[in-house]
Amino acid sequence: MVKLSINGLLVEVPEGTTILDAAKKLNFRIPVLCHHDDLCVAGNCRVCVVEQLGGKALLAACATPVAEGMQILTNSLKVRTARKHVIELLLSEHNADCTKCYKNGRCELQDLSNEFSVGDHIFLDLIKHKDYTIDRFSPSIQKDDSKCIRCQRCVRTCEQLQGVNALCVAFKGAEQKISTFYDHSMAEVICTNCGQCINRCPTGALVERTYLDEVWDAILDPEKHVVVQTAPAVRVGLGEDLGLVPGERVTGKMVAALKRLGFDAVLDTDFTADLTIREEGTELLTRLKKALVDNDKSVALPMTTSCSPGWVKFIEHAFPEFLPNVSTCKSPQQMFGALAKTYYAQTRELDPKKIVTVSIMPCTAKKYEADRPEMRSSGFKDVDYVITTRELARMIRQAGIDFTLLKEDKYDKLMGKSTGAAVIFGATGGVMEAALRTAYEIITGREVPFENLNIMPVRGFEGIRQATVKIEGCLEDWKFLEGVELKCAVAHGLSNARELMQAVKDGKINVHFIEIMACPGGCLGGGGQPIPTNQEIREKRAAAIYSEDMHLPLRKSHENPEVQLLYREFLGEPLGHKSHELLHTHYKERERY
Amino acid sequence: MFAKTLPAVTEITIKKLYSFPVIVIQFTKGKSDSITFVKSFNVLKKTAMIINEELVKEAVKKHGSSRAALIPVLQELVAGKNYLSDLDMVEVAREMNLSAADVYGTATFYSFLDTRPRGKYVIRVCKTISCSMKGKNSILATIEETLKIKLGETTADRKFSLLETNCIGWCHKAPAILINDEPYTELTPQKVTEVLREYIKNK
Amino acid sequence: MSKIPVQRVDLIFEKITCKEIFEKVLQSKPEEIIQSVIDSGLKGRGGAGFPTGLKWQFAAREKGDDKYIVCNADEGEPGTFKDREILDEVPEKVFCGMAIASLAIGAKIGYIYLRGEYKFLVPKLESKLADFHQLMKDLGHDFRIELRLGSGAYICGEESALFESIEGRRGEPRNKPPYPTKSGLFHKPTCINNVETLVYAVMIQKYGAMHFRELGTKDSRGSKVFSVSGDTPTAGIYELELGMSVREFVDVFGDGDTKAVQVGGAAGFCVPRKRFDETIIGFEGVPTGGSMKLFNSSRSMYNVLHNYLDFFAEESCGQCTPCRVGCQQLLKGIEAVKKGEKSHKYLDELVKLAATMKIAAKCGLGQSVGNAFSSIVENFKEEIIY
Repeated sequence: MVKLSINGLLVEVPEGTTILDAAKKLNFRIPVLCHHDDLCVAGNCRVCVVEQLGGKALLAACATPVAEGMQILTNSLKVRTARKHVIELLLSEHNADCTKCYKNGRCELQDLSNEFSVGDHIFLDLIKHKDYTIDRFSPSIQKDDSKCIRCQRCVRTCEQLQGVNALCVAFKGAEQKISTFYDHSMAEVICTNCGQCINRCPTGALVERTYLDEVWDAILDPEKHVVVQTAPAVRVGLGEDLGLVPGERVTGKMVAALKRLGFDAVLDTDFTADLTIREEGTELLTRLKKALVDNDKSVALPMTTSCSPGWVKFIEHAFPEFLPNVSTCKSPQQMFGALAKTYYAQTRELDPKKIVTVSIMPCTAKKYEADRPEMRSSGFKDVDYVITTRELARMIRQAGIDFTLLKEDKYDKLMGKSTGAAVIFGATGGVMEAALRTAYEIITGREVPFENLNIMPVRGFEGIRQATVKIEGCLEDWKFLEGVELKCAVAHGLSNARELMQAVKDGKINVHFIEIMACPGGCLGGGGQPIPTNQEIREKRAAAIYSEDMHLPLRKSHENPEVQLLYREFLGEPLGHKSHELLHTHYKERERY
Repeated sequence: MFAKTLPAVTEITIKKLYSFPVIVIQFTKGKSDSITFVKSFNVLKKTAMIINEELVKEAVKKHGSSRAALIPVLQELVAGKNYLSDLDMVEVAREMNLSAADVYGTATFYSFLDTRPRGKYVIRVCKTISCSMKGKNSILATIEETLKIKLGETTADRKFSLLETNCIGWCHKAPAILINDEPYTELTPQKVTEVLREYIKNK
Repeated sequence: MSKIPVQRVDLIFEKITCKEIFEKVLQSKPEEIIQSVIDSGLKGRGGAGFPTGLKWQFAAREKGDDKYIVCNADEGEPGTFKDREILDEVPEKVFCGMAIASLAIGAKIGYIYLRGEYKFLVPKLESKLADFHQLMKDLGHDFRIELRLGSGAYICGEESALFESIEGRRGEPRNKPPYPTKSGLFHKPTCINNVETLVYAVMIQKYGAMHFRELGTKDSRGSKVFSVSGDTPTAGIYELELGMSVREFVDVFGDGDTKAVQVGGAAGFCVPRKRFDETIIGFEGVPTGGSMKLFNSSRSMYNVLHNYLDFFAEESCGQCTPCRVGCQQLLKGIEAVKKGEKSHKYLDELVKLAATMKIAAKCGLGQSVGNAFSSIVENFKEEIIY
């Protein structure tokens, strides 16, 4: 343990603690910009500098470990002067068009400059000498270099957290900037659109491509019938941007708000999540049968999930040789879109041309997914617009609704019912758990042997998790699986995905089924969720998701009555002809860079 | 790759003419006539890719494929043509299992690992204080006039590029320049003209 | 203020036989070698001036088999060209110095990081290295040296940026602590020394610590190689005793009309004529890596400052805010004042900014920009404004 004093107060902390964390223990919050709890230390913005008595230079609190007997001042004259200067310098190279900026009111630079730097700006405007353009080519991510403060959080996120490395720091000195390969547009490089960089960008340099105006236009167009679907993870994150604390389940309020916004039908992606389990579960069992009964060596195992478009783009770039292993099932969002303009339209006797499908997603990659050219199975663009949880919060504020005062409401019928297995899609391990709940029962006729159906081994935040379920007492049709140890693996965050797939490639890991979510924590930590994000917040959202699951009357996907109706009236059976037409897709090998 | 489409090909070589690669295909046509083709740009690019692959593989073989070998590999590739093309960087990324953005970010940090196309000879005129005091501007003007290019440009025949650089360590013999790796010091407009003439004439 | 007249010394370029010296050194224990360097009072000759013996001691005390000796030959400070000469004339002494250090701290591999602008030295160095490796083999000392080239980045002369560069990354300085002796190249204990420092280490073994200690002053023991350029009839490389005043220096090297001397390159201080007498060239006064630039009254100090700031704005690694943006602000700031776009009072703001950069920047580059800025603005204000 190390003893030191901060602002005259004594504190004792373990060796290796940074001055920043030691100060937190004493209730002194030192401001930061380049520091982020999820990322490694950078120490380059110099906002967090503090004074050490007797020292010449100031110390970066986030990067300096405590030493015995240190006497630190976090708010001395030297520190305040330096901090103000640093903020003024950042403002001088920042295009502060706050009234137009998407991050207005939620910008860390704005907060800091409000706290420390009131009045006229001291230094010269450097922006007017630079030649910045805004990259709006990607359907998911918008990059505005004129707002970048070079904290490098996005580069560290893309490199260390996600292992994608689409962003880099280029050049040096006055020319230094955050760039992609050859400064190509984000749409042209290996960016997977996961949006984790957006979640950590302190300013408006990286934000999602927004489609609010288009959605409002559709809602306000009397000719259009606007259908909205909501992803599982949205209902545990939306509250954070509307005045509630992390971990609040706001499903009922969210539905009420959507109805008030004017959507013609408020339906649930969880419905198609249940549907996905039916289709994907059947697909897995079909592959297993081919491998174990027919001894078909060409069957691609392990099978991986395909509902995370960030993961799909990642594997298309990095491991195209494993594309046959990816489930051919579309994601729940896309299944929904295809059904909305066929099944829903038919049942409700609506002209599919007049239907606009909007999805609320915790995800930025879903915007890219909706734009993929093959996602037109209905004969139209299956999902018209995707907006993030953050964008929905904005819409609710624009409509003048006080979210906290809303009375809970229920989803509309036909594609609005869901089970607990669907809602856990929002957490890492959730798809795996939902699939196991259904598959096990189909094969054995019994429920999964876990208390309350909670399959704990696949839950949690460890990067790569593995679980084995022994199949015993099979029903007649499934006798070929008797005694089989069904091995599963779960990974979240793309650097873990890379590690897992490399292990599969090297033959170091032998599993049947893999669930991969591109975002740390799964969708609940998605690129479209409220900012800030950190481990504590993600854990709270996960707890909310599992709580939602426990409180639903139905907990297994195959019990969903609306899904059963869908098969009876429209699809026939899983992997049937109609399913293949509407609910399954194919992938594309992409460049490595 | 051409052997598949032209069954009568007897020999395919890649020669360097006019400072860019040209495919020379010899094939028999009745009485052993040979025809030389200069192919279209797309094919040249494909050929350049093949050449690149070989060069990169050799560089990686020589220096290794660990991260610490990245800069020596890039230096090896730059030594050939004074800049790194996007094809170079993609190939290096592939061979060394890095992302292209990572290679690009590392290369652009270093002034001599240029990612913009340069000529066969890169002239770097020192612009730091000693050379600045001792007549760097007139040296620069002389070079611009002799080669008919401005600072930052490359001659049309891709032979010379003119850049400025910071202190190269010859302050007591200022003004000084580098032409590729060779330093030239104690320059006067006349002297620099002579040096350039040698380059234009001989090399 | 003790005044030592300009004394020429010939330790650096004296030709020696590495074999003789190293054979003798092999007889000593590592602690003895380190103690002799500590006793000599040798401080780093690259400009930072850290006590060399202490550095070797810290590195020696670290546990572990993987340790490195690094020779910083990335001489990029404007006005410094002495390392080039040393590597050209007596490279074997540099290798010998590295070998002695390797014995002292327990390293098996050494790297010489040579700036890309000196690539023409490589054939000679490689040939001399071959001889050196043979000598090491003959004497049974497990130590080999590898050459690594820079590629045009001044910041790679900063020790942690140099390590990053050898490791194949952008040369961005690291956070300190930990310091190189604990976690340096490849995050292993590393001893990084300037070319000149290593040669002095050899000469201390040859002539003993006292011989070295007798030269110079209490705080600046020994001699140093200076690179003299600018308005001087005798530009060149000179090894002189440390501790002389700028006055004495100018009396010997000036052209009779010297109005200012920039000691320590762009990262150093500008000493105006009125302070020549009182300023000592040494660690107690104005330390330097050797760069000495003389300006006579025909020179515009605005041009000089502009040149330096332009240099820093370009060579900054760009990581930290005070340096990346601060250099641009200082540069554009003096331009604006000169053009009349900003009043001369703006210079006071810039001086305050320079003071912040000095204490808030992440590495020595950002911390040193303010030296030249403040010393030139303070002493030549009219030239900057009008």
